[in-house]
Amino acid sequence: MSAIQSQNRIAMLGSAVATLGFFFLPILSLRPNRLASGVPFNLLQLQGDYRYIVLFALAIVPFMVAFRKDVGTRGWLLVILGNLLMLLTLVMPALAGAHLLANVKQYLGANAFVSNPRVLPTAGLALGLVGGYVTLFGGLRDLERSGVERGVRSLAAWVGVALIFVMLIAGTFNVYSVMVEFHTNGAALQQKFVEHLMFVVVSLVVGFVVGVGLGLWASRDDRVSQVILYTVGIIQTIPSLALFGVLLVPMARLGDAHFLPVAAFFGVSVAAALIVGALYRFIGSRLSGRLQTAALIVTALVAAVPLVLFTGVFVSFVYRAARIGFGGGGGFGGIDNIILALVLVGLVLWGSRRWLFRREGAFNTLLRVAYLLAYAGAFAVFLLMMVRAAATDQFLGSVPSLAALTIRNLGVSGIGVAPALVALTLYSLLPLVRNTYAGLKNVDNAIIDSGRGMGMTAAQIFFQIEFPLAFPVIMAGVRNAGVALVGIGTVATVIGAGGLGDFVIQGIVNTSVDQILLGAIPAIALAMVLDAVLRFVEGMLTSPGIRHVQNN
Amino acid sequence: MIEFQNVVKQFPDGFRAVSGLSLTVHDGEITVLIGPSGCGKTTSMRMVNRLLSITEGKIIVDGRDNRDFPAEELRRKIGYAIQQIGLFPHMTVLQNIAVVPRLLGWEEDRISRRVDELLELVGLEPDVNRDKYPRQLSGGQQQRVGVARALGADPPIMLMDEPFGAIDPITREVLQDEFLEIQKRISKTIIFVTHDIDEAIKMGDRIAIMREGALVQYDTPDTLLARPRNRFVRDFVGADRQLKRLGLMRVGELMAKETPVVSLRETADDARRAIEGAGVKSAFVVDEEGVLKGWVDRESLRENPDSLLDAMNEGDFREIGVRQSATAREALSAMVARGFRITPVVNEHGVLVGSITLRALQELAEQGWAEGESA
Repeated sequence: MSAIQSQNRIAMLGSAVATLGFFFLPILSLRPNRLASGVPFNLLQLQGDYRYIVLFALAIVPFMVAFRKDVGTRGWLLVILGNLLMLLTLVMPALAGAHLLANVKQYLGANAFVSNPRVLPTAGLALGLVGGYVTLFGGLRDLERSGVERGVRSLAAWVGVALIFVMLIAGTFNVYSVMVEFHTNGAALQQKFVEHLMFVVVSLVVGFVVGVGLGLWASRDDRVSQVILYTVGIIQTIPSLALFGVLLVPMARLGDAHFLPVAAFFGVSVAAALIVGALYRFIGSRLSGRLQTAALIVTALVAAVPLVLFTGVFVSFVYRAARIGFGGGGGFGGIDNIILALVLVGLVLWGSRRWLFRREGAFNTLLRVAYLLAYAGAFAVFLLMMVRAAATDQFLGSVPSLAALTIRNLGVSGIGVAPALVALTLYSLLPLVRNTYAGLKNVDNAIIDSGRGMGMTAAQIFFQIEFPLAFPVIMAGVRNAGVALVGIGTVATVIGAGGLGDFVIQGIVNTSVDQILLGAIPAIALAMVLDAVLRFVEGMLTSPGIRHVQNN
Repeated sequence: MIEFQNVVKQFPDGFRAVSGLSLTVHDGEITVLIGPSGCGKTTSMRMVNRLLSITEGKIIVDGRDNRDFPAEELRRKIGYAIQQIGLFPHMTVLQNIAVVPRLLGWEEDRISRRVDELLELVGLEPDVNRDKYPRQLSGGQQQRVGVARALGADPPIMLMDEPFGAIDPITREVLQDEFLEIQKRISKTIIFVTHDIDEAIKMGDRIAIMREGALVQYDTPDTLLARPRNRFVRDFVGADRQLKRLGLMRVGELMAKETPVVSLRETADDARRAIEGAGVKSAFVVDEEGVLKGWVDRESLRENPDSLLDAMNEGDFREIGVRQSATAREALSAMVARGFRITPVVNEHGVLVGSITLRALQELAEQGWAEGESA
């Protein structure tokens, strides 16, 4: 970006978008009842009330302000205008909407079948909001350039949204049909929202553990890194709907299986992975380049079997435990299990720290995975004991004998939350793996070398040097994954996983925009809040010594 | 004491970086490993704290095979400073210096006392710098912190891999001088790797010149310059090695203490008598405190036979004398620049302590030259 940019082009764009929306697109649509199609109204068509001129003015003025040369003042003006534009784009049509509703017959004609008439916000209003946001954003850029402090800037960025939120609660926007829908579906919305949040968080957490692990592994071994990065890249190209479908059958089969045979199979596949890993370790280095890669891929596939199995069961179980734990149903429920699971993961890391984190080659990385799986096996056995202990009526309905216990009892099934969680976890991998890999690879070798030279162990180097330094990059991946999961999560409704997607799909079936918005708006808000929260966490936990070095 | 015994390092790809190195590093000395790149100097150093494994032979550290200790434990006992400094950017100066003490489990107040002590040692104000992050420091300050960090737990042994390599020449000189001062006080056993022969001569108590994984010559800088063992060493130390050698000698050690001198209170006759008595051409003039004020020679005395003051060529001791702490090389260049055949030597207060002649310096250089050729 050139330092001397005379106009604020971003604000010009925002202003243009809002102006075009207000002039050429309907801002509201009046429907005689819930299902009938509505009559669109332009801002200019709202009769007899010249207050709406204010909106036109607010839309056009930023365009002129954008030509000012004094960046500081210009920034403040644009921030104020942008916030006002967003706010009034919602408030003014709400006033008009109330007027329309009060005089339905006058606008729709006496013949219309009027029953619970509704006012829908339409494209013009949306463009007004977008234009306001873009203008605000342009203003914030100016403020950043003129050296306004970060805290002040974020305050300026959020004040409009905060006001809108207050008005939302106060009922200013109740005239809009989305709000009508909200008031009738409030309880359901809350439940779906929690569901949605829950499976985003669970798959993000599991994805974090798996993705950071894979990224760590990839960063240690160039040959492996190609396999891993390629694989997670491929997953990302599978359409989410297809992935849900693909998981349907194997997950259902898995759910039907009894626990003991699965556990036995798991043990056998871990053993196979260990053996193949050891074989590769001793033979691999003697093979020629191409053969070595082939052998590596075979070994990776063998190792992947128990890993996938374990991940699938584990994710489902964690979700189930979490639901029960947060559901407040006393007993030996979720929270304890989660804490225990975390303790166990910690123990696994602790036990394997010597070989898990070391950087120098020669030591074959595949063996690490085999070891990890052996640990996971031990972990799985422990889980089983937990489940047996936790088998109150709360959790499993009854205490089944070990032989009668099926995988479904652990929460795995072909439809519902389990396949959704697995799919979402898989989708979260690409940004997590890629960013972990990049973050760790970018740590200066001289820094690692001096850590080693001073007598830090491999684990100390990882936790005290590599991870803190790669942390901002990894967190950027977490934010990417989190925001993406909120969006993809809405598709999970098709396999009965619930979540905000339920409203969206109902809305599509009923051709009810209100219902779609009822699902979509909270999803957007969730994505924004999640991003902001993660940014905050990132800022808090990043050392001031490296903060802002890699800003996006 | 560190002893390399027939140490061999062969990398997995078959490259033999070090082949049969035997070398004894003496306690309290700076031993410089030097040679062209790829000569195995850094590899040798990195085997001492086992950042690299030893293929054959052994390295004895403080009387024990260095493989008797767990690697991490060994490394915590050996200070380590590298060219890129390798400060941890996410840690404050304090945290960086405290790394090894924390690994060793020191108590926090002992650590903070130690950190302040070290910051003062390397010339950084503790209160100002303790909580800064590396990116807030200049390159020279970062390097000082790097040295302080290597000294963190007061290790008896230090490994330094071109520690001043990434710094501008002027700051490097300053840091080298400061480090030598520090070393005088702490007397660590140091292995110092560099590829810069001037740095080696300046810093090293002993210099080990390596080539293709083997030791070519291991001697004090003076011997190395005076008697290079072969053509490789001669080329490596450079054609100006005689000058470099002069750079190792202090004027105070070479000067003649007996020198014709007259006091300002004496007369021109006294001066004439002193010069003729000593059979020289000139005498130095000092005041009652012995501070150098100028000189007189036979010619100026002939022109002003009555007054010492008139006959005296007046000059500030800083301009006409050399310090006794100066190197012979500095004295030589001062004499060449001023056109003197003899120059007075003073202490830091300007008191005349002796003199040194151009001829003496020339002889010194020629003597070394002859020794070098005969060897």
